[in-house]
Amino acid sequence: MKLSLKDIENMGLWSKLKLDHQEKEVFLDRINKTLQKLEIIKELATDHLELSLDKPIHSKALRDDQVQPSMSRDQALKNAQETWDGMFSVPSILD
Amino acid sequence: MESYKLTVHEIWNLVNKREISIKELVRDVIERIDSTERQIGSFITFNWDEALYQAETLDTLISEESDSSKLAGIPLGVEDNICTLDIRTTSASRMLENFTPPYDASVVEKLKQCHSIILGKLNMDEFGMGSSTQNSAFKVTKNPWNLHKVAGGAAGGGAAAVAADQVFCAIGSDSSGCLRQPAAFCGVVGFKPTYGLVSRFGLVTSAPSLEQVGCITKDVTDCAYVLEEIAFYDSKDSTSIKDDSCGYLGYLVDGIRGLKIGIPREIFDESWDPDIRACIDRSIEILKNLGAEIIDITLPHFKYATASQFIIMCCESSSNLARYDGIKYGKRARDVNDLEELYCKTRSQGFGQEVKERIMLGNLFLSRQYYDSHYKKALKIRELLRNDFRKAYEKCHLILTPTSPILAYDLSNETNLSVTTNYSKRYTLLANLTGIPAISIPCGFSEEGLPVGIQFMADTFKEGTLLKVAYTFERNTDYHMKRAMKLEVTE
Amino acid sequence: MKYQTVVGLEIHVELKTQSKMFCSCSTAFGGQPNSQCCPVCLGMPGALPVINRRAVELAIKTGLALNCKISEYNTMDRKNYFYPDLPKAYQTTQQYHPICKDGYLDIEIDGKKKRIGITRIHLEEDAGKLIHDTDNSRSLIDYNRAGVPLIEIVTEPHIGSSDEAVAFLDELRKILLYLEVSDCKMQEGSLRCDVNLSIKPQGQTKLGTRTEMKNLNSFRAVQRAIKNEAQRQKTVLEAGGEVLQETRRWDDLKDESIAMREKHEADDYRYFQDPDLMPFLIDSNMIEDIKNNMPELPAQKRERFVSEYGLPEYDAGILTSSREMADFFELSVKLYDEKKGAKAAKTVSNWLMGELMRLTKELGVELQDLKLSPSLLVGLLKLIDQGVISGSMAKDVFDEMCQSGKEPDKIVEEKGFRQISDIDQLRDIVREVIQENPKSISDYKAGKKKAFGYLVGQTMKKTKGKANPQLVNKILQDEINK
Ligand SMILES: [Zn+2]
Repeated sequence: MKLSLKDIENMGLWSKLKLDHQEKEVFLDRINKTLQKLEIIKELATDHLELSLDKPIHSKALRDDQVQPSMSRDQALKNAQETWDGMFSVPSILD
Repeated sequence: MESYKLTVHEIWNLVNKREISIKELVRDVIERIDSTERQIGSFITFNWDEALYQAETLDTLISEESDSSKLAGIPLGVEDNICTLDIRTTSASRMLENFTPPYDASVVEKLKQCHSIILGKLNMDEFGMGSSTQNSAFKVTKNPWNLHKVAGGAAGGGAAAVAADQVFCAIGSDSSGCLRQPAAFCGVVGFKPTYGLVSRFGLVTSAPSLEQVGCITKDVTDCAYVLEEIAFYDSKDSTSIKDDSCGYLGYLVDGIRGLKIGIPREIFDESWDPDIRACIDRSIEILKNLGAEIIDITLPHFKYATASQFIIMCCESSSNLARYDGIKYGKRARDVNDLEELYCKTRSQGFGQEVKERIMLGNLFLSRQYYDSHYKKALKIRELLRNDFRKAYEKCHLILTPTSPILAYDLSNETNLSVTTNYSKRYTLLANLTGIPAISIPCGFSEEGLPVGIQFMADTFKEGTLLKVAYTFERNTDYHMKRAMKLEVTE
Repeated sequence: MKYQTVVGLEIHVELKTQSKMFCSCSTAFGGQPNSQCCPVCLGMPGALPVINRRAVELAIKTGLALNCKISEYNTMDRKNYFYPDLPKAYQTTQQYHPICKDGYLDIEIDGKKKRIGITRIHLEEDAGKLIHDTDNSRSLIDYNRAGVPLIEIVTEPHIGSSDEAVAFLDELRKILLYLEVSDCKMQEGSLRCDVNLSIKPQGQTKLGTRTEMKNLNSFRAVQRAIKNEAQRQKTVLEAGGEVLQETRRWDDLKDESIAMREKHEADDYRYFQDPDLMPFLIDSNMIEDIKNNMPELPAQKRERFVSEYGLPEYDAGILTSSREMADFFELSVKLYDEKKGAKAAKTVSNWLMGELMRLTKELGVELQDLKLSPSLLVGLLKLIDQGVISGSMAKDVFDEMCQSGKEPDKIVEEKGFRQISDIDQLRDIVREVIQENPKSISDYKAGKKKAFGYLVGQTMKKTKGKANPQLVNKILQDEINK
């Protein structure tokens, strides 16, 4: 199952990566090689197996509905590169 | 005094006897880092000012506290993918070059409660993706035993720092052998606990189901000391488990008579470095002489493990690293016209090649067309492998392999590292896939003087058994005493 | 050709929990932007989710009310896509093992019962809020709402018209309010509805291509959008065109929908089980506990009101439109008449459906916002029965009572509303009126019955409305016929 440039473009789209033509070619080559190495799993027939529904061993998987203090707004925003009036900012989504 | 050469348990004794002060210790260690760091490159960020400030008050504090922690006053390093409040945490990525977490990881919170001293943040492969720490966006960490060799990875910074006596212990994470493989390459102890035993809250992870917080130490006793503190139930981590079998120090006993150690027959057919084979053979003899019974076991699905681990890691990474979008924290590309461009430019500039490739692959494997043939299949293999281990543990207490079938290799510019060099982790990643605990300890040296590691794996929550065999082996050998002292201190 | 409309609904309901789905931040509405956030709900590196038990309970409660099977084995899954309101770039939801499956809800349409299938109910988290600052060509993000627990209720395509859709939503909303699962405030976004719609020639079994409509902010919008979209698809088909599978955005002001985008081959949410969250089990004890604490649902209550109180269906329907109203009614009847007789019930019902509804409508408030209590209402009814005040006076007392919360007899006292029931006093006044209106008397005697009413009116006027009307009638009869 070899990938085409079109597949690489889709993967770039899902991954939100900007790839120029040369990068696409490089990735195509590398990724096809990687996929080749993964072909080994095809040897193993697993279609007859269903994934077992793993019973969680965690008794406390759920927490109580209790409010605890949030971060300060400054803390929440301090790592953002662009903010305005206490909010995170992005280029306009309405065009 | 060269106090940086000591171990955690030795320091603890000296501090208790008032033969050394924390202040001295911290100064010694910082001096040591200062003189060796240029050659090794194990740190991304230093935290010296705070460490020195903390040391000022610690001596009084510790002498006043009747039951102070065994890690009190111990200078240590934290891998740079574990969040530290107000200390930059980059995961060795351009993406997080300026990220200063507004919170502490639970494990860091615990270290602070213990009054441990965080000297800085340790180098690693970007987002834990790599096996040699050449994949850090900031620097390459070199092997203290041979500066032309890799330190291993992803936690190469931690292994090198411990091996070079820069820190007494490193707290890091392991998603495929990221602690054990570099520990083997650098001749120190690397430990990955049972999945859920140590909180992952605050661990900047790419592969949540595989990754576990653990440690790198100078010897097995130190490893037990650290585990004693970092293993606790954390309600902030849904995968955290309350384990009542703690009291790890009690397992530090010399005696493994009657212990059954299995060796998977599948691994013998594989190509190992001949020096490694010699070390492992000798180790098996030592274990036999100590009274252990070596038995043959089988892991029928072993040969699919590497592929399965790789697929799962890619899939989880593609989703876990999607949050780096330039909006809330981390890198944000300049001069963008619209949202799509903000996303794409930020991510293209922020991530390294290896990371990009794995994200792309992960998205492929999770897409409708590949989900069953790759992702779901990888999960099934994981289950089959778990079964293999379950059956094996019916026959033996522990499973033995070399930590890595290859030695620390030459530093190189090779960039496509993903699957090829995972060859070095084909035995370690088994524990990540199945969630079991595993330890790597030194078991000899190659002809050219590179350390060799031996790995023991146990069933879930059998940390004690692991510590016991590792401790016994260590007590009856002297590999752990040898330090990478050949470092030339150049000024 | 005649076409049949086929509608399925996807309803998002914000759950009424104190804290968010995966962290302990408050869910309160209207806080300062980004003041209810933590590393978890901001998707900070390293932060991990922990599921809110209350959210799980509320989802089960809803599932039970909608006759669903409750799943023992549950997983949370990730739906991967980039959007600025989604901090982790994936929504944590339930794709593979939803918490409730295979239920139904019966609705009544034109007096006939219709069963609408519920495909599934799953738990998920809400996204943040975007504010569009068009002047500066930027969009701003407030993550306070990010991580608020939601359930999504997905129906089978069993809905055949806009009226059915509204009837369904109305009944569903009532149930959710009864269960105290959600506020169901569409304007605050705590209840949101997407419409999947296709049309097919009458009688054909194969479904047509469907469109998905979003941004429906009121029941009216749902109704308009369904009519409009069915018509649009019909026009397309009749012109020989093809309906595209696309997402459309409803514009309430323009009363039309606009295509947002077509579904692409590359559209793929790459769902997979969230490795940060372990599967969780719902045991029968938890379900039993919730079952034992389930309130009576609107439909059951409606039936009971008819059988127990002998109320007309119509009254029962209105009185059960909210749990508060129904409880108010029942308590009032009990206070009014220990035997809960049909007459007492009808009297209370008339007051609630008449005066109360009028007042709440006038003031634009809800029953809970008024100071009215069952004991106040019953106090008023008793004053009427005792002839202390007239029915029309009672209406004034009622209004005053609802707003001030004062006892009705106090109000009567203060306003001097006390009815004149003294026969001698009234007879004097009636005589005066007769003397002053000889024309009316002769008119009445000549057979003009209307004149009598005029005379009653004059008497009431003289007493400023305080005269007991029954007595006035009687005395006037007596005096004229003397
Ligand atoms: Zn939060």
